Amino acid sequence: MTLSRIALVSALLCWGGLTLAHTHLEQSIPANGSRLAQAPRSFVLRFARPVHLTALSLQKGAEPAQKLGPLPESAAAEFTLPAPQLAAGTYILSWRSVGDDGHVMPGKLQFTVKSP
Amino acid sequence: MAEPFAVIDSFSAVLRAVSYVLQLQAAGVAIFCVLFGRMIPASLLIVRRDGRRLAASAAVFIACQFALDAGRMSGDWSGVADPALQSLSLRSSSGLACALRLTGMGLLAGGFPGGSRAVLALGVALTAAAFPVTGHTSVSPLRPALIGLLLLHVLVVSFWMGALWPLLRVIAHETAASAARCVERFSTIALGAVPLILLAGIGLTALLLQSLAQLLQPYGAVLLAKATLFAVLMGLAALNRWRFSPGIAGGQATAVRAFRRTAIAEWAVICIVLLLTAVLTTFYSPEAA
Repeated sequence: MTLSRIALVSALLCWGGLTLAHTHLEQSIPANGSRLAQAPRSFVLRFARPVHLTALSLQKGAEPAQKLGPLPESAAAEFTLPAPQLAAGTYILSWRSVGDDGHVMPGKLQFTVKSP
Repeated sequence: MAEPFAVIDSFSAVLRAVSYVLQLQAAGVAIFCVLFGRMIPASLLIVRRDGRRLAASAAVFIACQFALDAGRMSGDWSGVADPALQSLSLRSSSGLACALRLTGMGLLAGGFPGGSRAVLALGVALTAAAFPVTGHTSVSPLRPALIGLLLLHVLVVSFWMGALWPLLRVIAHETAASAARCVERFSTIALGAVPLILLAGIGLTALLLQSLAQLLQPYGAVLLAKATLFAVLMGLAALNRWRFSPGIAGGQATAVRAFRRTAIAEWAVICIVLLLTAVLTTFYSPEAA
């Protein structure tokens, strides 16, 4: 079998099962770097394409990160998740998502709550 | 904010790099056996044995790296033992790529002892087919062109890299005349094939990056590092082709030693390029470049 035949067979084998998706965050509530007069009741993450949200955690200052869940099992472009009760302080919301390209994409945003 | 990569991501990148090296090496040894097997009667069995060991080792690293994907999804080691994340990983394009790779390595490990050209060719095809199934290539609107370029890129890299260790076996075990014929034939094919790596790489870069300015961002910088190392490789390959190959044909011991050193250097540089590729595919995206 020649190299060109191998390439042709490979191309045919992998042609199926390819779908279109990107996994980057387009918008969030709260926005990265925002300073909120009141604590948010929920977090909204909007991605460019549907993804699986596989991890979400919240960290206040130097305290240990707290895992949030349960997370939706199905893929979606937008996730709205209830926020825990938050005291005044600076928080980092971190997540991991997986798109159709199979890449695990981490992300995080920071926001400050001025009063609970 | 900068993306929060964790220790498990670095561990996964290292496993991915080792897995790339082993699977491309195993596939390359198979290509070598198909193309040059009849020219190397004294060393063919040794080369096949090397190929079988490489394919079996590659399968272990492929499985380990895939098992870590669920851990990467959760951001820590707990995900490795999470059935829901492992199930998601299995159903994803990474699961399909892993299945193709493991089947490919299984065919190679099983095909080397008997030397069936059809089995080895199928093993190589499945191994190469796994690369465009995941990652940026799999989701781009330009995927037909990207798939063709990536397959060409992977197959020629595999041919080149995979031939280096077998050539050392050939020089060690064949007669000078037989070894010289094999090196000469490899060099002739490589001379035409290896520039295709650069052409395919330029094509992939042109299709994936949206502007030259992105070359200054992390994704582009790693691509430039790969291109620079490729230039080093071309220099080493040219040395082998034009300086040392004629010496091997003439039975010069110094030429054989120089060829061996240069081939090992080429292999090491290709391994570094594959490490950079693993870093690229684990941590960066052309969209975020």
